Amino acid sequence: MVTSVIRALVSRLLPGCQRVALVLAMLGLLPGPDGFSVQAQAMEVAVLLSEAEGRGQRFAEALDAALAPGMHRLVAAGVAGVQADAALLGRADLVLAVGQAAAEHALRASAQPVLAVLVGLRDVDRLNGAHPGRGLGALVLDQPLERHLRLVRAVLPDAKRVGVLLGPDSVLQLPGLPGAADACQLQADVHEVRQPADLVPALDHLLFAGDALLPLPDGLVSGPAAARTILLTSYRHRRPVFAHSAAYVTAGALAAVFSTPEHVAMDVADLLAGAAEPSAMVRKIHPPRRFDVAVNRAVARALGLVVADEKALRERIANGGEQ
Amino acid sequence: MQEKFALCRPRARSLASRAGPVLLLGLLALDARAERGEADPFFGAIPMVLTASRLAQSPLDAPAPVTVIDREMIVASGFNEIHDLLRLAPGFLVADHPDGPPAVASHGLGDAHARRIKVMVDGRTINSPLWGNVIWDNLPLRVDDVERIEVVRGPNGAAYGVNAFQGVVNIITRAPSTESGRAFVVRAGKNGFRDYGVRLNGAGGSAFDWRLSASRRELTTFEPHFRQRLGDWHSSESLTRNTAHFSSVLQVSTLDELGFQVGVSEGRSKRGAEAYLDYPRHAEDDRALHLQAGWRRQVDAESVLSLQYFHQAERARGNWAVTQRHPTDPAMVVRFPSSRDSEARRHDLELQYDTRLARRLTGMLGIGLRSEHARSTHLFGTGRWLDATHGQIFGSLTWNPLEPLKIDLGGTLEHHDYSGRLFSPRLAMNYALDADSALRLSTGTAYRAPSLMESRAFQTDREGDTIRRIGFRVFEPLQSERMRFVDLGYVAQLRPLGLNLDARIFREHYRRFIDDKSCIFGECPGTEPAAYVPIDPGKKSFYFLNASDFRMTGAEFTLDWRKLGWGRAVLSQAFIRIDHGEPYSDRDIPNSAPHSTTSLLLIKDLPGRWQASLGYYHNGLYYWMNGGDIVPRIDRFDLRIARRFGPPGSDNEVSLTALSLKGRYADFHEDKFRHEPDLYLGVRIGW
Repeated sequence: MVTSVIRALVSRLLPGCQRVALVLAMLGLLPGPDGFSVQAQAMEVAVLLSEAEGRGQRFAEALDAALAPGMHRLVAAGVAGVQADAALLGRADLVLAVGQAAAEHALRASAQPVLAVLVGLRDVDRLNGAHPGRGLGALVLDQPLERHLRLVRAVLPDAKRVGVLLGPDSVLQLPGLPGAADACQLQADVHEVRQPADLVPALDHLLFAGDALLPLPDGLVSGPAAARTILLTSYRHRRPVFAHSAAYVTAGALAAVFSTPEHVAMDVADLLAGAAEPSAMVRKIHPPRRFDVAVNRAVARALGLVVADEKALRERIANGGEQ
Repeated sequence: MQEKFALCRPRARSLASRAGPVLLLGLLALDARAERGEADPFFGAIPMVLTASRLAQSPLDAPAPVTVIDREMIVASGFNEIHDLLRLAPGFLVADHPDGPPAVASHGLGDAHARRIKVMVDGRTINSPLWGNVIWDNLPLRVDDVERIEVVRGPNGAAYGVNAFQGVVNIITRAPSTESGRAFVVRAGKNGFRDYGVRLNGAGGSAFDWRLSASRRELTTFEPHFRQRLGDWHSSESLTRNTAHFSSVLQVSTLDELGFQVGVSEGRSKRGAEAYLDYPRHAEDDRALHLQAGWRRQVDAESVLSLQYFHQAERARGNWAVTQRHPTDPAMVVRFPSSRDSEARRHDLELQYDTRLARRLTGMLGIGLRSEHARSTHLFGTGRWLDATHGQIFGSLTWNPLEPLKIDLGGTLEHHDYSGRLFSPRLAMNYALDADSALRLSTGTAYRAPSLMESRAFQTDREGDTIRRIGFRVFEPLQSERMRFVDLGYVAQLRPLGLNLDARIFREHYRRFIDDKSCIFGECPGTEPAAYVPIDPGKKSFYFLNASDFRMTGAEFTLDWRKLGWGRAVLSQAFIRIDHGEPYSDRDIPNSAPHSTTSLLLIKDLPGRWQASLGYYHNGLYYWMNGGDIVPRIDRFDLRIARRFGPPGSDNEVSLTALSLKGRYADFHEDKFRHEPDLYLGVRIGW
């Protein structure tokens, strides 16, 4: 309340950047939202993008809007590989690398702690491999396995078996699969493909017994050509596909859980709000907390399925997938 | 928001202002994945694959009654020929006879050249340009290539144009991307039945998918049949067919797709009977080519633009000598050549756009051009190519004024060389009673334009310049057949029971039914040509005419029950009555549909990857017209036992199939023809 009154007052008196800077400075002395103490040291956070437009920019704008005023100072550090602000990257308390290319650049160009966002688990794995000892932190786009399976449970209450399609990247998630499947009372049949030629036999295998197919995010399995094969073959077997992006649902998957750049931005804002120093965020992989659900109604109709609305599905997922 | 963020940067240039020069480089930086040939799993573009045009429309939403014969039914039926699969559609009648290709009709009115159903392969019409029928035994496609068959069980000229009269059969082939590796298929059984096939596929999962399938089959459909009553023998038929089909899809971009298919079929048919003086034992050669190329742009999830070109070519060769005796002078015997030599070609170009016009309104608009060419001295009395062109504009609007109500208004305007301008409208309303059931009311008008034969036939056998025999001919230009219809349907999916129900009643009013009538020399309605000097003036010739108006009333239903772990049962039943046509031009018309037809397919999953299936096909007594005759009540049973092997989900199997367990059965003409049963062993091995 106090915060908003001061904000309003200042906004009448000062224009533009001065206004924002003053507000940020003042709020640094005031209690912050969510009970996080603002006694923690405010960090200078350099935001390095992988691309000048698109989802990185959407993320940056959403983060700017979501971040508690005065908590930390966000500073744009340019675009990876092109006019990146080397000085800023060298002095910032934390480099927030938006996308795989930005993370790669940050790890090379800066000795400061790096938190990567809008990246996948396999990106983090590769970056850690290429830069051992740096302790990259990341808030990944990969949804927790249990969340995927809760969606299956929420859409198909009678499902017993799910075919999980893994590729060279997503095979990293294999160890967590049994536990997640048990938690959702589903049996997960797993098949890993190493090259495109393995795809159709793997699909025939998984769709033979499974009630649904879950291709996990992967450089091979998630490609346009592979997705076409997956969707057509699944439809041939009259089995729904549960995917990991909105585009996959538009393309013909029945449903997906996914996080948008805006969701990730809000998650990062929470992380920053709860972090007194960069070390609290790096050397960890944070799953996305916020997510959305998309459903392809035309596919549901063609498969003879009645699927609850997205809001109800989100609630069911939050409650463990049960109706 | 962007401005606030940008203003606080150390260097006061907005990100947006930097976007132009750095965008390309930024994207290049992102392309580290692309360089590795990897996709972005979370934000990468994916081609829209399962859109409305690719998905089978739910029967709850369809503006017309639709039956889908899916892959499971196709395999379990044991049928080795595509036309036989239509026995699984309610009200469909399938017959074979030894003097030509099989015939398929819906609700009666069928003859040796049954031509009131539009048949398509992946959306392209394949009815023969000559008769308008389908040369089923010469399709450059095998059962193994078929993914599913969508059958519209009624007129649908509004969506498919003229000649979508009694029904529309769309054979959907298996997408090449759903198959990989190689497979060898062999079937062998009684009566010298041999069927060998290979299937080669691209790697799968790539932007270019392809499949090549080829087969050779030898079969005897009819052995010579001895008619006890008159002590004579009737025709037999043995076929050899070589078939190849290539199908490919190139995903040019996430929006654009190019498709290409080419299929060829060629082979020899041994037909005729030793005892037939006018149709002795002889060999015929057939060849068919289908070529299809298309471009498809998925503009967005609900908008698709497609351009398709289709070319079809058919060639038939067959010559034999006809012997005729003078009716009063047995010493006067004349032999002259007869033939079925003919060539026909079709070029078909179609552009179609489907889109959403408003939140509750979708639309489709298309334009098509078709040219048909045929040449046959025997059939048309001239060696020149006969040409015809047709153009059509078609469209539909689907409006959801209320959540449960859907109104579909469609129509096709076609200019037809044989019959002028025709407009086929349709109005359909679907009302959802709940999420799982709906009522449908549809009404409209459909046309069938005369085929090339019905427009230009002058079928003759000549001895030098003298015409010795006339078969089919035309005296007066014919008008299109017209049908006005009304259909009331109920569709329900009873999920807890695993049961789907599709039921309907309908009434169809036929006008200007195109029939053929026989006449003898001197009594035909037109002037006989001066060159016509028949040996036996009492021999009949046939002419086409617009004949009776009549009414058809029917009811049909399908129950499709499935229980996981048990299997599936699909029961279809149709009741048909034809009346209000007295006096009929052909007394067989009201009897051309059996009062009752039934099909039942039971599929039982057994332990150890075994599966047993039983097909039951029943028809009451009915008549095939014009060349056919009475077919008695038949209760036919088919049995198939199969065991899958190899990796789970693979198509590898060994099977034993018996079609018509009760043995030979009367087909098409009870007095003359007995179709052979089939008993064969099949093996499919993929690797």
